[in-house]
Amino acid sequence: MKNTNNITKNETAQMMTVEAFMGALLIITALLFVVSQAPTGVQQADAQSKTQLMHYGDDTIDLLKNSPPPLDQPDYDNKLQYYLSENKFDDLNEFLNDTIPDNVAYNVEIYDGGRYFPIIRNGYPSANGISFNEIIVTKGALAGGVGHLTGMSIANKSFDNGSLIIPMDKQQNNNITAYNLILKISDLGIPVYQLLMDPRKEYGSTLETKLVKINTTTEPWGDEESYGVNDYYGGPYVVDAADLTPIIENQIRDYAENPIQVPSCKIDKIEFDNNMTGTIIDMTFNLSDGSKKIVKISTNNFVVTVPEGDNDSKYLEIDTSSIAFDDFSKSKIIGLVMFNQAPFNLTIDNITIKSDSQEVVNITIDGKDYSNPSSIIPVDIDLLHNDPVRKVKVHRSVENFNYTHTTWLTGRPRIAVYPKDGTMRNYYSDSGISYTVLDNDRITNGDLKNFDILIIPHNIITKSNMDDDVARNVTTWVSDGGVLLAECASITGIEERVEDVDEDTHSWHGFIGIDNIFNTTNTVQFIGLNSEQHNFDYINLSQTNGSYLHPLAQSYTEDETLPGTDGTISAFGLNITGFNPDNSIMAVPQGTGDGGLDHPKVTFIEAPFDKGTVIYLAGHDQSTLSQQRERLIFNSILYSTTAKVYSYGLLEIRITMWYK
Amino acid sequence: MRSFYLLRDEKANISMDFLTAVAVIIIAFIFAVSVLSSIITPYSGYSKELYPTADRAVTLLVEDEGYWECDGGEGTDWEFKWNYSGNYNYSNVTKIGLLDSNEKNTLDPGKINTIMENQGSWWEYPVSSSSGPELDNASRAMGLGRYNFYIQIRPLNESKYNVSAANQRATEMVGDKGDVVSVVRYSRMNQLDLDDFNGAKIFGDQDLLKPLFGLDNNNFSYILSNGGLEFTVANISDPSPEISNILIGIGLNPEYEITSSFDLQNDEFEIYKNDTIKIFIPIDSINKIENWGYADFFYIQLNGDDLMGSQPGITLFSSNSKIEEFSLKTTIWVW
Repeated sequence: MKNTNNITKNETAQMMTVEAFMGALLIITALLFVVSQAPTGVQQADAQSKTQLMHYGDDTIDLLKNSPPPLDQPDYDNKLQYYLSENKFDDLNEFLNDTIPDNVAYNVEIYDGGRYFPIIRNGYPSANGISFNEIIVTKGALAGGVGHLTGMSIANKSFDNGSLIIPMDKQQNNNITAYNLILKISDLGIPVYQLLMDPRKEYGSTLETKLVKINTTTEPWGDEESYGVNDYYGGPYVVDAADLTPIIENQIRDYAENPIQVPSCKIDKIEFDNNMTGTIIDMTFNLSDGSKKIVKISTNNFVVTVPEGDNDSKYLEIDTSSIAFDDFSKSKIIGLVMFNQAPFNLTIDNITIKSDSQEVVNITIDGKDYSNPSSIIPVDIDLLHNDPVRKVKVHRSVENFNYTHTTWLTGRPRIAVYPKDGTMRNYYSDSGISYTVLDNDRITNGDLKNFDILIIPHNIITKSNMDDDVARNVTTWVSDGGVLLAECASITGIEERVEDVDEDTHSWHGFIGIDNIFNTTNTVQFIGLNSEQHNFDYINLSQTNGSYLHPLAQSYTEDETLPGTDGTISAFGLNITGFNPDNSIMAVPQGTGDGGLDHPKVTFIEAPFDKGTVIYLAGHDQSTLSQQRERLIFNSILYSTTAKVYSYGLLEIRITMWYK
Repeated sequence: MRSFYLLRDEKANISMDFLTAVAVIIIAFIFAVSVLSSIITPYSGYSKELYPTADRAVTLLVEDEGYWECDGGEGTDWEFKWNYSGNYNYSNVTKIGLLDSNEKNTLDPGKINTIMENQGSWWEYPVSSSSGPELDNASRAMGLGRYNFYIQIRPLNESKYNVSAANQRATEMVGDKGDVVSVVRYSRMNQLDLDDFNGAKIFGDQDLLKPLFGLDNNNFSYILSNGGLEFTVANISDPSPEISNILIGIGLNPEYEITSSFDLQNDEFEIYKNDTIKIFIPIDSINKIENWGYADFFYIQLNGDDLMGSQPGITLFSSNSKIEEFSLKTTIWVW
């Protein structure tokens, strides 16, 4: 290579100096680069900051747990318990804001044993481009006991534009199948919220709580731009747009447009002119295509047989698994459900009903009475194939909105039924919501721990069929947080059995303190509906206006009352001298006099039992006559996983902190 | 290969290139050393230890009751050993902690006031008057040994104290000290707040001539917090009672008279009279009773004309006191 650096006379040092400066420049540039990339004191501060954040979180929770409650709330042990029990999350936020330095942001969540429930949100660490400085502090927190509406999480909640709304009033095709959609959405791992309403329309209810007005479109899946302000009653469910993804939306649409197969037709009741015990009933369903379906019912034990031969309709399915008497005189039979299994519509021309001696006087099908002196009753009922009204209606909001009394589901309820399904079959037929039947062995084996709610449909419960071990297991399970729903004659039976095994633990009788039962045909109304009920002082309850903003009381009723069930037990009475004092009475029989309010009668009641909840609902089969009545069953089922941030003795509070 | 050809009369000269290159290298080296030094400094032994040291010290202060031991015994009530009965027993205190032994997450006002300077609802340590031996022992008992430190305790509610004064003091004490770390902790404090006694309902000795007052052990921190015991008796039947002497002690006989009493001299207490009497007994006077901190009660008996009790017994300070609870922020700076 040719050397080009030969220095000649008078050129000494000229080029070399320039090179040296260039070299120095390079070195300094390189050093500056290294310096800029090197860790500075900030990195040391990072480790320190996390420790400091931990101190902020730990100490702040300790401060809350050691600070006295407000002077006018002396029943609470400390400020944290008061904030959580009374849903005073704004006050909690103010406390944290005053305590934690301005350069620290925080989120707060409550863990109730099932899921984390966000109560204060100030964004996320990643939103600030800093994720490595986030710390999480979790501590136990005592809560509950003395709050209003104890047991539920009810808070103000904002919903984004595009949220999905599942109406639960007359806008909905079928309120009961809508519950199935709600549970399926819950299975997708996103929260389903419910806007709690006051079912009392005329009395006591305020405009803010008897309905919510939302600007929505009724065509949520299309591009149609038509929308308007809709009134929603009955506690609609909402999926927040913030929780929706395209995949989840498609799944919800599929669920809504392809609902479960519900009964094509239900025989609400068949009334005879006398006691039907020990008789055989022959029923023939004659279809317009000339085929027929025959069932033979023995009323001794309700064994149903389907004879061969002329029985040639392969498309009409008669479900008789929940057939039962519905009254003390045993002259009314309920529980017959029909399904159209054909790929086309079927029509039933008439039904022939014959028995050994008694005559049928009336048959009620899908709420319509068919009275006929003859045993051949013309009905002319269409059993539609792929009935469009079976689809669950979903609306979509076209604006942001918020609601002050919002609760939410923590997950899909796991349902157990004891000791046999009985009328639960009807509820399953209507909703497609499945359940597990537990017998005595499974309960004594501890299977209850795998369920959120135990339903006891009508049953005569005695020591002979529910022994002490079973009763003790059920009592302990409820005491530990389970939800029990008992209907009809089971109510007094379960009260007796619980009292036998739990007599020294609670001052009242059984779970709630039921004194006696009544058979009344009065309709049911939510307490506080009219002026006579406002004080309800004949049993001197604290809930003078009823617990109307309660998930259990959600029901849209056109005439402001719920129908009675003409059941074996249509009401029950509280033992005035000793009943569970924390009860929330939901509904009572309508009217005055012996059948009504002059006596301490209740038709729907809820009360906490230690950490759990007990619900009693009078009436034999809630699926007869009205979806609004049947809703009480599903309200109870969903209530078992409704967020309860302060019904348990011990919660966890979790604070996530980071530097802004 | 590069070659240099020296011309005539250039022997022994240093090349300009060489000088420049050396200068550049030296400058770059000095620059690199200075920069790297500043980078490495935070990880050097002293600075690296600052934060853990400060964290441990403040954690001890707010989460520990403290500890003392000597040949005569041991315990957590070091506040009675630090400066007790006029004797400075700093070396017996092995650990300084401010936690109240009876309450969770709550600091003891007596312990705070024993070691820290009360500036009117906020406290600091050290201050200019902190003596050398005391500061040395405090550093040792807080685990701060060779480090410089400054501690402030303030109410979280800024309306309860002079924020600007506290900030000013922190700036003066810490200022620009180079490598300084600070750690903040939150706690609670329950402070006894005495109300006036009603002169018509004062208990006293059997003859109802000598009013008797009693402060229970759980509230002894009040004496430490306030540098003594100050109380007021209002609604006295004779607006100008004469008090000839005051007895203090820790034992009573069945006649509700103080046994083994200590008769305070006139310069050992203060009395202010108008339509009420206000009495202040400094802690130095109280400290003359040996081991008063371990007694169940501390008693005060008044002797004088026209002083009457309503019935035999003890006028308990707890009967006219209330507890003021508030949150505190403890900050320690270490450098």
